Amino acid sequence: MKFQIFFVTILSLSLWQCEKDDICSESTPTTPKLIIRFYDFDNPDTLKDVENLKVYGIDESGNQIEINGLGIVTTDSLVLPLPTHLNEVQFEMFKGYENSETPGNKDVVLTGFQTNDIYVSRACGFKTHYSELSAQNTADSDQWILNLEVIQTEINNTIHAHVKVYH
Amino acid sequence: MHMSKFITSLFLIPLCLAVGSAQEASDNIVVTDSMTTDSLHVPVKFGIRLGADLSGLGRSVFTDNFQGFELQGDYRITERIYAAGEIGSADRNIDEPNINFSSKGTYIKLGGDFNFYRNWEGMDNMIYGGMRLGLSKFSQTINSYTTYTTNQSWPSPETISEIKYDNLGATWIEFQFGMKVELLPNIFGYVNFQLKRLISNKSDGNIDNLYIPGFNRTYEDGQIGAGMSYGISYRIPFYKK
Repeated sequence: MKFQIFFVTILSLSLWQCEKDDICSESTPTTPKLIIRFYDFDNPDTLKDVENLKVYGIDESGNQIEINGLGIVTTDSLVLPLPTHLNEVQFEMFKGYENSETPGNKDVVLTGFQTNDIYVSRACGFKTHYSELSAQNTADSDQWILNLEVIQTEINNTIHAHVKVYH
Repeated sequence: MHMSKFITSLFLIPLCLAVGSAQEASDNIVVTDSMTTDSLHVPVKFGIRLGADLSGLGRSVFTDNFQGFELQGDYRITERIYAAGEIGSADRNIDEPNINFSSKGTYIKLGGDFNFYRNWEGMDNMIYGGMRLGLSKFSQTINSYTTYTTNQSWPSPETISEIKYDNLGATWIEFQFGMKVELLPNIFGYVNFQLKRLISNKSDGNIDNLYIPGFNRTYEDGQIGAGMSYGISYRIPFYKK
C-alpha cells in the first residue's frame, strides 16, 4: 500500500509543471528600417546635415505618427521605421522645425514598397522585409528637398543606406 | 551533484516503503507446482499490458488547446526486461506572444523498459528506466502572427494567416524514467518522465517545427525535449513462470 502512496505522490508532483517564456532578444535581426542619407545638391558626393529636422509619418487615415525616439535633429542620416501592414506611406519632413507653431519648411516624401513577412523564431514571430522601394518628393512652392534617389530597392537590413536625398 | 543525490533518494524511498508492504503482499501469492520444486524462484506473470494515457485525455477534456490520446503497451520478455511502446495522436494549439500555431499528427515510440525495482514475493511493481525510438508525422499551421519590430511607432496589427505545412517529420531517441504500480490485480497505474533528443527534424525550411506530436515543444537552440505521461493499464496474463 505504501508503494501506492508513493506512486500518487510522484503523480501529483508531475502535474506541477511550469514553462519559461521565450523573449525575443534585442540582438535578433527583425524588421529592418529605412535609411536615408542627406547629400549636398551642389556637390553630390558630399554628405550634408539638415538643420533642425523633424519627421512625422502619415498613416492611411492621414494622421501624424510620431516616430519613437526621433526628436528634432541636425543630421545627415535618418533611420525610419516603415509600417508592416501598408504598401505606401508618407513622411512629412520639416527643416528648421522649432515647434508645431513654427514648423519650418515642410516637404512630403512618398514611399512605396512591397512587404514580405519572414519567419524569425518562436519568440520573435515574423519580420517584414521590403522590396521594390520607391520614393518621390511631393511638389510644393518651397522645396528644400531638391532631388531623391533610391539606391537600394530591397530593405532587408539596417546597415546600408536605401535612399539618397539631395538638398 | 545535487541532482544525482536526488535521483538516488528517489530510488531509495520506495525501497524503504516496500519493506512494510511486503507482508500485505504475501497474501496474494498463488502456490504453484514450480514453487514447490524450486523454492528460490517465485513465479511472475507474463503477458501483454495495454494502457491509456490519462494526462492527454484530461487536457483534451479540460483545455481547448489540446486534442489527443496515447495508447501504451508493454510485453514482458524476462522477469525484469520489457518490450514497450506508445502510439498516439496530438492536435496542439500554442499561442505565443507573436505567433499562434497548431501542430497535428501521429506518432509511434518503440523500445524497452528495465525494471530496477526488486519486488517482494507477490508484488509486481516497476520502477523503471526505458529507451524509445520515436517517430512522428505531422503538419503545422500558422494561424496568426505579428511582425516584430524594435520601433513600435506604427501599429503592427496581427496578421491572420492559414499557412499550412504538410508532411513534416521527426525522429528522436527518448529516455523514460517511471513507475508502474499494480493497484488491483492486473490493473496498473503508471507515471513516467521523458527526456528526448531529436535525431532528425524535417521542417518546411521556412519555419521551424515548433511542436512535434509525441516529442512536444521544441527549443530554438537545442535538440532536447521533455514530457510526462500518466495513465492506467491492464495486463492480459498469458502464463506464469
